Amino acid sequence: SRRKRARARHKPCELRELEVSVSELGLGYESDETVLFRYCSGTCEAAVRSYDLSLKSMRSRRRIRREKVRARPCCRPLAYDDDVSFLDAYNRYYTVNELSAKECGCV
Amino acid sequence: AFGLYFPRKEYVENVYIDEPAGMPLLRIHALKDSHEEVAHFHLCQNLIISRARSHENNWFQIREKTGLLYLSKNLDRDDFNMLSVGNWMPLSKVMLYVFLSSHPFQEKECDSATRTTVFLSLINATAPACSSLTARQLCFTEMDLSFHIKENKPPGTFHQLQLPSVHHLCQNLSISYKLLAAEGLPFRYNENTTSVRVTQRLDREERERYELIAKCTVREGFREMQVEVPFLVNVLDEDDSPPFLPNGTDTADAVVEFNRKEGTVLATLTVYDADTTPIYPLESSRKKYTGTIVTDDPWISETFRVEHIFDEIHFSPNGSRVRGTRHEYKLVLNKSISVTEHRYFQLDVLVNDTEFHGPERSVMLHFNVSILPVSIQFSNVTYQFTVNRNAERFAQIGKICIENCMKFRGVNITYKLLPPNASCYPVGILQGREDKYGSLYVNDSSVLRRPDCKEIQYTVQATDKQSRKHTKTLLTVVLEGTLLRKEEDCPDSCAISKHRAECEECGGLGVLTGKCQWRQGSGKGITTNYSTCTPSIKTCPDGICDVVESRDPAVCPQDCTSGNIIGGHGKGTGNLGIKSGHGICYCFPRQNCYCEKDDIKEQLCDEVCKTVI
Repeated sequence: SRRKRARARHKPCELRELEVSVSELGLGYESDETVLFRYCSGTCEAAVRSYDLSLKSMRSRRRIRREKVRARPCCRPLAYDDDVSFLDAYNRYYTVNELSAKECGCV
Repeated sequence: AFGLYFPRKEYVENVYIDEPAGMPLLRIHALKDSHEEVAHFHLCQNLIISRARSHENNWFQIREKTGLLYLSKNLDRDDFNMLSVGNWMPLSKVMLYVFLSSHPFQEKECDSATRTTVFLSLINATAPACSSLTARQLCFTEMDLSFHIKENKPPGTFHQLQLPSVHHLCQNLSISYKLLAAEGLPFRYNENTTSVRVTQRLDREERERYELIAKCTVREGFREMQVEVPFLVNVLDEDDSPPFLPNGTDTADAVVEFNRKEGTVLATLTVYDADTTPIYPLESSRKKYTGTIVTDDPWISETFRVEHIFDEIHFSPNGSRVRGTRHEYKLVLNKSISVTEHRYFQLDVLVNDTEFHGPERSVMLHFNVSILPVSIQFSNVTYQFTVNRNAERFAQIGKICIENCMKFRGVNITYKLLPPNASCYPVGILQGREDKYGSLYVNDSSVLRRPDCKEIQYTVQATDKQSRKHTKTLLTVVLEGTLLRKEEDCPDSCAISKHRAECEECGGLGVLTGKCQWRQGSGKGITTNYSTCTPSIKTCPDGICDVVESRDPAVCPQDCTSGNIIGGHGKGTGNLGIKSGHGICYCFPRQNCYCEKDDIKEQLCDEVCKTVI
């Protein structure tokens, strides 16, 4: 199982999808409609640059102390899907834009 | 539209293969306009097969005097195939026009306005045996028995119940008809000819719909079958009633006072008519009933116009429901009237029912018009406002308004502050494009902090654009409160704060007492009562991006933002502002607004990339 975990951790950054109801999105909309929610998930170890190594070194040498810095790339959407429209429980239409990812990348 | 006419718009009948020449198909009737007229029927020499195709008519003829349509030539399979080529419908239909004239047809005229359409379904089979037909098929066609008869026309025969083709083919069957529910109604059934006749002139204003039942009995030896179908007669209207006034009311008062705007309806008078008024075509119904201002004063005809609308009403002359028309004539201002105008006069409107041919075709309506002047003046109190010394720029102090200003329509009042002699000049006045009042606001907060400024006297001037009339009053602004130390690192907009604590310890643009105010929402779903941080709960968010808020996007983005709103929300009018939101709504002015539940602990990244600090 240890090996399994290690393998799972090495899944590269990619697009996954999930079918969820609008209410589950937690935005406050009450609706039973389901939407396809695409998100980005995976590791970004192969995208580490000199910048990240140097920043880590600066931090460990206490040259950077107070600020929040991120010394490793992160798997995030590079582009978003089209707008999603739905009808809520009170018969009102809503349109949500940039709800789910279309393309992922390490940034 | 006088003369002979058809009581039905359409007729239908089936035609089978190899039916013999001389076979009768159906009877068409005409009704008369006067006793002397004699109806002549005539067929157009074209069969219309589909929109694009027609064919010369070699098979069907009509008896000029009786209106009997019959087969003049056997219709064999070849004819059938020719007629149904290119007809994509599974059942081929051909269409014939039957024309009507009061004199014998000289030539084959095919353009008389009075025509009816006959649809013949060509059935690709020989005629079925009489014994295989249902009673419904033996007695009636598939078409409803529905007729229209014009009112005030002489009696006449308008339908024959017996189907000529069935009568011709099924000699051994006895088929008899009856008209039920006809007692006391002006319709008679003649048993010998099976025809139905209207026995007297009808009056639509008495009754406009007759619902009878046609009953048919088929006897074959000992078997007897019965069918009943509705038999409907609609009475068509003609203009035979003059206009009249309800309760004799022909006068109305029209007062022009605070509302002087172009397009204002001052008074309405109603005229009734027992006739119906068709809505289409619009121009003709407008022309049918006219309302014109009777005047030779050019000022009156320029300043007023009459608008005419009409709708259908129902009245019950003797238990039946009959449609009539209600015409409404509205006296409308054709242009805005100056506040100085002062007149009294009577304005007459002549209403004319142009299609009615009688002496009382018109009525005169009277409007007693009073145009009162309105005074441009402040009520005799002087304005006094107190302003806290910690107020920030764009804080709204109060409103300034002349007497009755909220009632004004079509009067443009502009407010101006005449600068005081002192150098203390902290407030300004602003007015929206549609606003009838002036909004007083802080436009230089550094003056509020100066100890030498305590009480400032202004003169406010209100001017009416059109008449140039103006009025003045005094305004005193009193500065109060002790100066508080300003917090460090506070944003310039209250709306940025997400929590009550940080909201109430900071100031921002538009605050009245130096600190922002927290509005605690009720927090159920997406609500207009969302939690947010605002310079003043009274004005923000109130769903209106007022003239002061619109000066700077940092004052009240909750009412004015046109940017992205992220999270559950509903937009305000004109896509401005956040009308309703989910949880707490906060904004970064000129950028995004966010509405979210407070309990969401934001994770910047997933498990994989947690910052190691």
